[in-house]
Amino acid sequence: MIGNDIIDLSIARLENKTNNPRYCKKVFTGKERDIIEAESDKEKMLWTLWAMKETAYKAHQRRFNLARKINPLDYECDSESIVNIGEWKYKVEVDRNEHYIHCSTTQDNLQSYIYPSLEFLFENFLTDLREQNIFRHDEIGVVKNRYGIPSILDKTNSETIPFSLSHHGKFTAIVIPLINC
Amino acid sequence: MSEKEIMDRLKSIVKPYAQRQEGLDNFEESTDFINDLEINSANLVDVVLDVEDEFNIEIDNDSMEGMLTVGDAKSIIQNKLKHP
Repeated sequence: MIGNDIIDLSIARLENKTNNPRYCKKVFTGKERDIIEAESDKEKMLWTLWAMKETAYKAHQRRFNLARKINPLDYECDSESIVNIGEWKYKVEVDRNEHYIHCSTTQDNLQSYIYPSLEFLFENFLTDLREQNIFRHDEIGVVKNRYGIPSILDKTNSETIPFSLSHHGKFTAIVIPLINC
Repeated sequence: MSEKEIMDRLKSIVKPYAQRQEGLDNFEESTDFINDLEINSANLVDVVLDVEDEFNIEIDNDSMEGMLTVGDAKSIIQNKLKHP
């Protein structure tokens, strides 16, 4: 099941969360706080773990159709690629550079797209999908279901493939599974 | 503390985190922090901390879990003020 999260480091770094122990205690388990403390760039590690947890949360919530919750402590990163929630494990792929952190789940074969602005977001996304022949047909559009979960609709055969969208600062990241295509 | 005072204080707390003015203009109990105010999920925890400071209460993880709307926050605050 898909989930993804993007962090614009130019915004996140300003929040200086590593110097806010109350915040850290509400969001990160003892084990996660140890992982953060062990790093030289603590702020970047903190936001990496946040993005991993958020990614696993989105995938887990979709997988079981769960009501929304603010429960970051229930999701624990046990390394830089695995997040545990109860008995479930999510493998998360982390893509980081000096500008952003992007995490996505890797259960499915996923294709990621990162856009530097919100302008013509879906138009650009659809153009990229068509140019890369991700779908068999070019007649595709974006639809949302009643839970607000967005999908690509293949208008030729009415198939829908849900995608996951994350937005932070100037960046928007979209991941879409390549299965069923 | 009156309901109106709680709502007014809540509104000033969320203002710096809200990214959607329309949500602030129609600030009411059904206002959803993420969908209507477009508060970043990482900043929801900041809202919780600011509520703790403003009302001098402690919001445990179980209460935080369900704080999705302004009305949820209001009920949590009222409960904690009644049973500190």
